[in-house]
Amino acid sequence: MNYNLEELSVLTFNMNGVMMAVDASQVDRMMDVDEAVNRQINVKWLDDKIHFYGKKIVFTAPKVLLIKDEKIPFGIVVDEPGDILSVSIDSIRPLPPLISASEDSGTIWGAALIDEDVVLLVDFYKMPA
Amino acid sequence: MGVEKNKIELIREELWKRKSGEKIVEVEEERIKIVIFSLMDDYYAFYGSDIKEILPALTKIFYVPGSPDYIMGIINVRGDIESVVNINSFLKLPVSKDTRKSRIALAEKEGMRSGIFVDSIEDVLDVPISSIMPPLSTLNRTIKEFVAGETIYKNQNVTVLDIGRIFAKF
Repeated sequence: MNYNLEELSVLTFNMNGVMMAVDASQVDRMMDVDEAVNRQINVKWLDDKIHFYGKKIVFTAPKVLLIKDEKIPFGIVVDEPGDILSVSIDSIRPLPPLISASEDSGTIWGAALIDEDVVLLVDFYKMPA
Repeated sequence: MGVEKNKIELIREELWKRKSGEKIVEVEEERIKIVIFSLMDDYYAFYGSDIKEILPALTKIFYVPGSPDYIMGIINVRGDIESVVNINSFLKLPVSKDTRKSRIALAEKEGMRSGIFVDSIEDVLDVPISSIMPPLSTLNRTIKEFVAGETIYKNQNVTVLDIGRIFAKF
């Protein structure tokens, strides 16, 4: 498969002030939590899978992102999903060594510089089961 | 038979000897730059050669989930992303408040690079290497493994931290 390595389309979301984004191609669709529960989709809450040490995550506008998976599609609950942005590879930085050495799951793989903000890039396929 | 030197000539000769002797001492006394900072009213220092830049603490720090509590997050330094270590938490000291005197010292050693959050930068000094003494045996064990030595600043003890040993812990 030929990938465009010059830019990445990402879906942003806001976890209590922590701006994050996921590769939009990992997301099949977005739905309410109730709908996901009714459809008996395997749902994981992001703050259960990535530790926000000392930060209490209070969801204000939770949504389930249905993640494409060859075997069993699963849902991730994130807060305040926002725009889909096209991010140039030039504006993506790897995590500093001290962070990548200690970040506990490898789910956060980089940081995108968008305007004045630093947006953390997550890979839901690397998320611990 | 040589001409006998008078007293003044002998004194001048002695003065030159002393002066050139002083010069030799100055040349031989190797000096080192240290960056003195404070944590909870105590003085600490890093070797100046390991500190690349001092940034204001107003720099926005972006929290990174999943990282240990002594990592405050990441900062954008002119387009480069750097981590920021809360040195108080790392050394298991009480955590200080962020004030307008707080600073981020950007440290680099053996390819590793990170910001170190400190209460304030007190001074940058050139000191004789001989003024860095071995660490006190009374230092607590948590800190001791990261200490390069001790020196004195404004009649207070300064603990010189080895940034390489701190980075090696990650």
